[in-house]
Amino acid sequence: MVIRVSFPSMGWSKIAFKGLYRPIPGVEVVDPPVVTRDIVELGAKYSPEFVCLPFKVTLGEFINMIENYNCNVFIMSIDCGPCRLGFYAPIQERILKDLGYDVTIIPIQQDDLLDFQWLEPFYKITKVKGKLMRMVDIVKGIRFAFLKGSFIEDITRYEGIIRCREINKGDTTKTVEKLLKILDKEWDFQKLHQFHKVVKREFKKIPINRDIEPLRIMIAGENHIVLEPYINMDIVKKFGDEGIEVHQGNSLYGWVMHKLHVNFKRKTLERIAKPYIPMDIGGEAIWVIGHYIKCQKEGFDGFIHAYPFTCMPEVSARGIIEGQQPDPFYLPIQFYSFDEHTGYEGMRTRLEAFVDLMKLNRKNNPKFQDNYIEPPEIREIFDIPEKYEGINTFFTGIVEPFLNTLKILPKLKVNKRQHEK
Amino acid sequence: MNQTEKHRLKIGIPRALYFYKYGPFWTAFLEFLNCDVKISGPTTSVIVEEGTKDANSELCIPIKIYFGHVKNLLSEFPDLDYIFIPRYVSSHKEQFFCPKFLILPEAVKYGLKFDTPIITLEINVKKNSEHESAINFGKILGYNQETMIKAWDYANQKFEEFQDKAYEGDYIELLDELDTNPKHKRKKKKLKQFIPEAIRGKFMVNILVLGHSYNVYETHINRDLIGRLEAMDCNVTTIEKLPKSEFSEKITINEQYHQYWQSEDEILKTARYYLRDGKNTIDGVIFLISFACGPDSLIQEIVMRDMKKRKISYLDLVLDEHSGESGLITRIESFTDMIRRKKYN
Ligand code: SF4
Ligand code: SF4
Repeated sequence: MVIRVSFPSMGWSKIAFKGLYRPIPGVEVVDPPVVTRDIVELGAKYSPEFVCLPFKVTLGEFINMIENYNCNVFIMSIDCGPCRLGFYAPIQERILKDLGYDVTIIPIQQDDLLDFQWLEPFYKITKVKGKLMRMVDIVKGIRFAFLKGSFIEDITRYEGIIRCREINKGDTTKTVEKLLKILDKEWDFQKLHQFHKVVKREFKKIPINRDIEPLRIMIAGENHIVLEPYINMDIVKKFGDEGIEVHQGNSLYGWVMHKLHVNFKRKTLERIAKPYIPMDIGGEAIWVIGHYIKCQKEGFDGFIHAYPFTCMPEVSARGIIEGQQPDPFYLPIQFYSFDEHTGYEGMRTRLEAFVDLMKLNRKNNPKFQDNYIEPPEIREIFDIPEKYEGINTFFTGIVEPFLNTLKILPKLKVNKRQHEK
Repeated sequence: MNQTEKHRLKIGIPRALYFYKYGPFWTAFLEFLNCDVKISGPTTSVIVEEGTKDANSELCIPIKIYFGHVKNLLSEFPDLDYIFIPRYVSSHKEQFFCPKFLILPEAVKYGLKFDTPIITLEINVKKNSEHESAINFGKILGYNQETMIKAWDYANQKFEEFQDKAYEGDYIELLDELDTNPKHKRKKKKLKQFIPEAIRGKFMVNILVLGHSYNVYETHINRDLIGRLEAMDCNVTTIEKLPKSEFSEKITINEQYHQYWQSEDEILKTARYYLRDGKNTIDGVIFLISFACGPDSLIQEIVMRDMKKRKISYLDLVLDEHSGESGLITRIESFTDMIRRKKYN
């Protein structure tokens, strides 16, 4: 029997999740629909009143999929770290069962991906026998997820940087949507390994104005909020349309790499943030502070911190940043806290005021002048001809995934053995 | 700064958050080390206001009150050598405290601006044993390992003695006794008796009050809930009155998820006890929740659903700086009335 399985979409990340589960035999992945107002309201209706927004959104997605998509097995990552995420799955399951739904939530332990507890669910969902095949399939899924995850990161990164330069409004959005659609449908490893070329080729087609020196901001904050464009009112696009170069501090790929202990960017940020937040307290708190300090040093013009209303780690980080302003933290920052009632109208005036403030700073404040550096991505897309990327392609496209797989394989075996005991 | 014969270090402890639980431990620990311990006075509206002013509005009320107490300490004792702000990360290998406890020292240090140094006792058994924590603490004050281990054991012993006393006695009074400062003496407020003289004591109901110690025993923020319940002819039970043996068994949620919040552990265990063995000894449950408290927002849902299933009356009270006294009284009055009617009809 084929089991229909789904998961919370978390913006574009669903493309990577789909890659992860699709190769498993006996599983049919249900594509989670795009989050809408109705879904959020549905979730909020059945959630505890004071819980953080991602809980409500994911609960709404589950109910929607049970009701309308004939799917009642969900995979959900949990984290028994200090924050609330570890309680999402059990309490959502409880709520759904009390509502009378027959539902299974399969938790994925993401505390530390190197201890391989997260493989358990694979064995749980697939009932197909033949152990070797299962392992091959799992490795395949992991390769898909890694590749697709890294391209989602690339696409969204380019998006923030190109949009402020586009000459014809809307080009970037169209390109992004097109690329993500192709990526979602691509199941050929050969082609996937070359996909970064497609990405660059498509972005290169957008006519841009390269002479401007736009204002630069970074958007960072709680993962779910920053990665789910419906929830954050597509803040990346809003700022881009105002002519601002947007850098993003969050990505699913980066997060997974961090959990595998190989995200050195995040390690650097942790070191920077250490005096202010000495340990991971859940959420993105420590990296938000790290990003903030780094951006100030690099001469950014502003910083946006987005998080769910009353999110414990993020609010703590906010308190620290606010307490240290304006000295030593002088980089302008704006906080957006989201709940199910947030609408764009309420945000617009604040967003525009922030843009004005940054413009004024550029004009009058020497701290924000003459430190613009064109991001390397522009050169990557527009200057470097494709053929010179040979070695690079070889490395990022073949060697790296291969090494990743190799690294994981022996542990998989150990895990399997334990599992059989 | 080191402790010398001539200069006794003056260390201030804010009377907020885990003071309501570990206060006896901290005072014994610091006094063993020959420190002059100063405790901030009981919470007042001024303290709450001061804290609210400087803390982010999305923080939970206990943290805001903590900020207020720190400011209060600084103004009452300007010559403090240190402010004692502990960092509770975990005191059990598989558990964590709420994220806000993890960075309490930094939240205070960078959230409020002041010059008095902060001294931190870090409890993190995932990294260090408890004695190692004590030794690290001693390094700042210039004590050797032996003394620190002794101090820890002494404090632990005092803490256990306190808990035994609290099992029988009045927890709030016992806590107040830790502070010998005559200025901080509390006058006993006369509370209005709700039950007419003629039937007083005849129709008693048993209420379990759940919540963090800093909500249940913080009489300012909960408007003297326990006293008021008693004035309404209720026998009040709290977590501290549960036999200790009940806290040893591990707790899971939906059979497969492990419970990792230390701050909520006792609440869930107490709830479980009264769902099983103690089922017939209580008539209703009141859960005190701080507004914007992360752990409570989820645990409350479980407790509520469990209680509903067993048909035990349940009331949650959300505490924040704006909640008025009269509203709270009306709610508990109608709650206890309802229970009484059910019980004695
Ligand atoms: S980090 Fe924030 S959003 Fe995530 S579980 Fe914790 S409180 Fe909720
Ligand atoms: S447990 Fe709740 S009330 Fe206590 S500090 Fe954490 S969020 Fe605040």
